[in-house]
Amino acid sequence: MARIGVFVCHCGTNIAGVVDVTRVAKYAGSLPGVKVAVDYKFMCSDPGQNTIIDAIKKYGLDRLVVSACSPRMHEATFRRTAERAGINPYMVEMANIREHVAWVHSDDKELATQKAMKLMEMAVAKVRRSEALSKMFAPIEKRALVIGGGIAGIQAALDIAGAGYKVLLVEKEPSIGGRMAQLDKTFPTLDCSACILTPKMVAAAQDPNITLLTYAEVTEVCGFVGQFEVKIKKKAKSVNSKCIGCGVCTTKCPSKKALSEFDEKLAPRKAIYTPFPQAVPNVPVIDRTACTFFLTGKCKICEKVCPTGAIDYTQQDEFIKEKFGAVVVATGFDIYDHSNYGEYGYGEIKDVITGLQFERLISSTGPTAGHVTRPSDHREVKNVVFIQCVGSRDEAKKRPYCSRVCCMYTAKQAMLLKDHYPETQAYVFYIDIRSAGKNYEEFVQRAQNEYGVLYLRGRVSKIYERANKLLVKGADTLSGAQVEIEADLVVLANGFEPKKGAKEFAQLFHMSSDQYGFYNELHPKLAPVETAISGVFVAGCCQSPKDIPDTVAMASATAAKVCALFAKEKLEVEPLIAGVNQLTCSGCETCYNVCPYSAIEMKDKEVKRGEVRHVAEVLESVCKGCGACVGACYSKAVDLKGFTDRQVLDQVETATAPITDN
Amino acid sequence: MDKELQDLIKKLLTEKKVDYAIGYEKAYDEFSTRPAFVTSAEDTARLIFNKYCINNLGLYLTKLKKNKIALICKGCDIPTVRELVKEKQFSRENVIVIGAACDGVLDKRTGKQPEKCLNCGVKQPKGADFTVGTAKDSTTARNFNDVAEFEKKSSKEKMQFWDRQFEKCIRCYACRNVCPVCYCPDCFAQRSMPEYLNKNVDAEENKMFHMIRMQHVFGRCTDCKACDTACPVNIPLTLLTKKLAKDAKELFNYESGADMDARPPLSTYDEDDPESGIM
Repeated sequence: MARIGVFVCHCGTNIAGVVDVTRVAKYAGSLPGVKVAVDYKFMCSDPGQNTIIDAIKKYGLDRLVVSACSPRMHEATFRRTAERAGINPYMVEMANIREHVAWVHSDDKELATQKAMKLMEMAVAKVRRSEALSKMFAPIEKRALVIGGGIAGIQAALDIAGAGYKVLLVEKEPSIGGRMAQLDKTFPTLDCSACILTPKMVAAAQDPNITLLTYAEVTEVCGFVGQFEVKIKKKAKSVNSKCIGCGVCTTKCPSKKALSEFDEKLAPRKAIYTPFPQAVPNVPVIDRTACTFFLTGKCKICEKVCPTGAIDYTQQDEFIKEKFGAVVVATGFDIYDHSNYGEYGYGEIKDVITGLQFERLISSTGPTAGHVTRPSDHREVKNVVFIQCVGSRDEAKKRPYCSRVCCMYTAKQAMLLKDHYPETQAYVFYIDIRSAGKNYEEFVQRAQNEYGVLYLRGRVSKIYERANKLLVKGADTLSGAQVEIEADLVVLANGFEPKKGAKEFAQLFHMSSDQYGFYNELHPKLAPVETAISGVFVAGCCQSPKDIPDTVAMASATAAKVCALFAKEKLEVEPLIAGVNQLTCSGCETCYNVCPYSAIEMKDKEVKRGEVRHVAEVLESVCKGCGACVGACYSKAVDLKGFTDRQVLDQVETATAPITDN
Repeated sequence: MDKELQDLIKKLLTEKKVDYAIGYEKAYDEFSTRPAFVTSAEDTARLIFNKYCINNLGLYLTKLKKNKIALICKGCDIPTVRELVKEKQFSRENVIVIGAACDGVLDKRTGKQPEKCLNCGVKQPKGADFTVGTAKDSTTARNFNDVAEFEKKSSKEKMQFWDRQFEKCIRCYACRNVCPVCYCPDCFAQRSMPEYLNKNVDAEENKMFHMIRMQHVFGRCTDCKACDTACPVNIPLTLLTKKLAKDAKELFNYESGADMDARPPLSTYDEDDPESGIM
C-alpha cells in the first residue's frame, strides 16, 4: 500500500488568500493511502522542505504530493527534497493550486477551494500509480555552432573558443561583421565602429578554435542538446582557396548593375565583390545574378586578371553535415522598411533616407567617402530633419514596441553632422526621448546643449518635395504650433524588425517567436538567453532590439551557458520518455511516422521465445517525452513514463467523481 | 470460372510459388461459403467463387505473416491488401493477389445485394497479380449519397438513432475480429490495467467501444463492410465506415488503400489541415 504525504502550501497569501488551505489539507488526510497531510506558509523555504523531510522519516512515506505552484516553478525543488530524504525523485507530484486556482479564481473562494481539493486529489490518484525512475545520461559533442557573424556571433564565438572549445561560426554574407560594420561611430563615446569591431573580426578569423564559414546557411537541423546534427549549405563563391585577396578582380569587373547591400543600396557594387574593404575573410564572391558571364556566357575578365587562378565558375553549392553540442543563434535584425509610411513619401522620395543609410553617407568608407550629400542631386546639405519612431511605437503599423536604440543613434547622427559641417542645423521630431543607459542621457543633453540640435516634440504629418527642397510639416506639441521646415535631407530613425525569414529559420530548431518574429527566450527575466529548446541559445537583436553593449553582454552570456554545458562529462536526461511494450506492439509504424524527433526505431526482434516480430523501440537519448506516439498507438503499446495511461485515467476518474468532504 | 481459378492455384502450388492459397469453399448449404486454406495441388478442387463469397479474406494475411500466400480477392478486397502492406503487416512479395471478377455478392440474411455492390466501381478487380473471370460492366462511381442524407438529420436524431443501435450490441467483438485492420495483438477494449473500457454490456460503454474503434480505423478502414456483414444484431456499421471514408476523402483527400505513397491523415500534420472538428 502506498504511503503518501500531502503538503499544502500557502505561498504567503498567494494561495491562502483565496483557497482554504487547512480544508484542503484536512480533505487530503481523509484520502486512502495518505498518511499525513499538512499545510505550511512556504513549502519551498528551508523550514518548509524540512517539514517534508521530517514527515517522510516519521511516517515512512514513499511518495509525495505538493499542492503549491506550477511544476515549472518548483517541481525540481521538491524532487531534490524527496531525493535528500531518500525517496525516488519521480515519486513526487505537484498540484498547481496557485496559477490554476488562486490566481484565476479569486472571485469565488468556495469554488476555488473545491477546485484545489480536486486538483490535489487528482495528484494523489496519480502519485499512487507512480513508479521509481532513474536519471539517464547522454554524451555531449563538445563543439558549438554559432549562427550569424555579427558582433553577437563574433563575441559568442570568441568567448566559447577562449574557454578551449571548438566553434563553427556560420555567416550568410561573404564577410563577418554584420550591422556593426556598417555603422560610422557608436554612441555614447563616439568611437569609430570599425576601429573597435575589426580587431574582433580578425581575432575570430585567427583563433585556432574557430572555424569561419561565410556565405553559408543552415538548412536542416535534427537531434537535440549535446547531439545536434546540422546541415549547412556552403553557397558557391566561385572563388576557391587560392585567392590571396589582392582585389584585382573587383577592380576590373565591368558589371556595375548590382547595388551594394553593405552601403544600403546607395551605391553600385561589382558582380565579384567583397562587401567592404576590411572584410574577413578577404575573399570575394561572384554574385551570379549580376555577373555578365553567368548572365550572357561571355566576359571572364576576372579569371583573366586573377594572378593565382582562384576563379572557379564551375563551383557548386555544397552541403555539409556536422554535429554540435550547442547552438548560439545570433541572426540579427533588419531595418524597418518605411515604404508603407505615406506621410514620409512611401519610400519614394530619394532624399528621405533611413538611419542606416545616413551611417553609410557619413562614414569615411561609405559611397561618398564621408561627405553628406543628397542622394538625388549630390548637393551638400544645410538643414536636416531627423524623424524618430519610424516603425517603432506605432500601433497602426503593427510595430508597437520600442526599438530602443533609435533615440540614441539619432542624437549621435545629429552630433556627427554638426561635427562634420558646423554650419548645418539638425531638427529632431520625437515622441519622447528614451536614453536609459550609462552616459546615455548626458549624451542626448550634449546634443541639445552643445551641438544645438533642435528637438521638437511631435510627429511629422507630411513631407513634400518643393523646388529642390523637402518641406516637412509637423507639430510641435510643446509650443502648440504647427511647424514647417525646409529641409535638404530627411533621416528616418527606422526601428528594428526581425530578419526576413526569421520565422522559417525558427522552425528549423522548433524555436518559438513572438508576434513580430523575434525569438522567444525561455524566461524574460530568469532565462533571457536560453530558448525552450535546450542547447539552443539566442544572442543579440534576433531576440529583441538592443544596443551594442547589451548585445555583447548577451553574447557572452550565451557563451557562458555553452561552456557550462560543455564542462559536464555527460548530459543528464529526464527519464520521462516513452517506452514500448513490444509484446503488444503490432509493428504498424504509426508511432514511427508521427514522432517529431525521429526517436522511434523499427526492429525485427524476438519478443517472445521463438517469435520474431517487427516492433518499435524508443531511442532513449533522442526521445523528448512529447507523447505523440502514445496518442497515436492503436494497441496502446506505447506509454509515457511519469504519465502512464494508468495514471492519467485514474486522474480522469478522480476528476469526474464528486468531492466527499464533510 | 471455378475451373480457371483452381487451375491457376494448382499451378502456383505445384511450382512452389506459394505455401498457401486462401479462397472460398462451399459450406453447409448452397447459400453459404467459408474460407478455405489450400496447401496442396490435389486440394484445389474445393475452391469455388460465386455470389455468396462475401468475406474479405485479407483478414488472414495478418495471421499468416511468414508464409507465401495466394489470396483470392474481390475488387473491393484489394485495398485491404494494400493498406496492410502499407502498415508493414507483411511484405508485398509474400502475397500473390488473385483478383476474382465479381458481379456483386448477395447477403444471405436479406437475399439482396449489399449497398456496396450497388455502387461499386471495381467489379473487374484493379491492381491484382492475376485476374480470373470477367465482370459485367462496372462503371458506377462510388458515391456517399446515403451518408450525406444521414448527415442532414439533427444531432439529436442521430444520437437517438445510434443509441438505439448500440443498445443492441452484445459486445461479441465480431466486428473487430473480422476487421482486417483491427490486428492489434491486444485490443484496448479488453485491457484491464488500465481498464480503458468497462467490460459490461451497457449502452454507453458499447457506444464508447464503437466510437473508439472507428477512431482507430479512420484513414485505415477500406470500407470493406466485413464488420457490417459479421454483426449478429445487424447494427448498420457500414454507415459509420462509409462516413469515415467520406471524411477522409473530403477533409484530407485521402483514400485508404489507394495510394501506396500517401501518408495516412492522422499521422501527418499540415498547416492547411481542416480544423472543422476543433471548436
